[in-house]
Amino acid sequence: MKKKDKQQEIEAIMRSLDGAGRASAGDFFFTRLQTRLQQKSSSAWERATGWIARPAVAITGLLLILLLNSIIVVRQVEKLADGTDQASLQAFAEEYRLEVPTFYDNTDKTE
Amino acid sequence: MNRFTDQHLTEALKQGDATAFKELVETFRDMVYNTALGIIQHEADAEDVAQEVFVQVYQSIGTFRGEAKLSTWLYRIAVTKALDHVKKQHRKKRWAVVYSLFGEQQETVAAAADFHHPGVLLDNKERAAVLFKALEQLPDRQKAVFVLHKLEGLPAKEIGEVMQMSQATIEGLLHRARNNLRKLLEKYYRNEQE
Repeated sequence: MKKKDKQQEIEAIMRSLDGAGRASAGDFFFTRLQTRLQQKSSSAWERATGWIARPAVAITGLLLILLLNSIIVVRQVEKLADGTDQASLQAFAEEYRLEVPTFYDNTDKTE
Repeated sequence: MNRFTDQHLTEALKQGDATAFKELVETFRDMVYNTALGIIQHEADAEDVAQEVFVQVYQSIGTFRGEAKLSTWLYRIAVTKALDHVKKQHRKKRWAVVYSLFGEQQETVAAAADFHHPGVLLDNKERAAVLFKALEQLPDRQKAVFVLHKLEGLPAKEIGEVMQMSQATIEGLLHRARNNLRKLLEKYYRNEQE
């Protein structure tokens, strides 16, 4: 292509949008927009419940709750076991006077 | 649409009037779509962005103070969203290239086909496709200004209101856009001949 022709072609390209009409959006633009708006405007609560109801979230949450419960139960059982042993031993010793007499116990009695 | 109707429509929109919103969409949808299409050069994506524009209008009409015309505000949102979309697409393409370097399977990034604007006269279709190809390579602001001027027929003053710049700045941007396009087209023809 000659230089002059090339320049003319470039100018023709630069003018190629002159008189171009407006492109028109699809026929169901408003209907689709309404659907999008409904999706977006779903309340925060609906979104939160929707998120919680997702299987991965629900199962993880359930497992976490079970794990926490198990830890609490195990700790309580350990604590109770320790406590009852001590108390029952003391009660048994008192009942059958099995306490070890000390030096001070004897002096109290003689005076 | 004159200022009174603009004001009337804005008030109705602020009160959540569904009919007013429908009227707004029907009045401005092609304007918004055409602007987005000129920048994005992809019909489905442009429609998606146009819908996002109206969603934002619906959600933030309360913040519109009526200092500018409704159409100016809509143009501003459309330009911002369309440019954001293009940036996002470029980012996606860059990551796709990075992933392909590491051999990870990604969606293949096909070379963009020639874009044919539906409003361009038949005789100019091929030339316009070449122009759009060059337009893609312009910096954001030059691209937006050129599209608003050429496809929407806005004068520099109105483009200035949309872009929140002075008329002189817009004229400068338009001048640079034209020069850059000419350079890109010359390069295109040089490569074609080689």
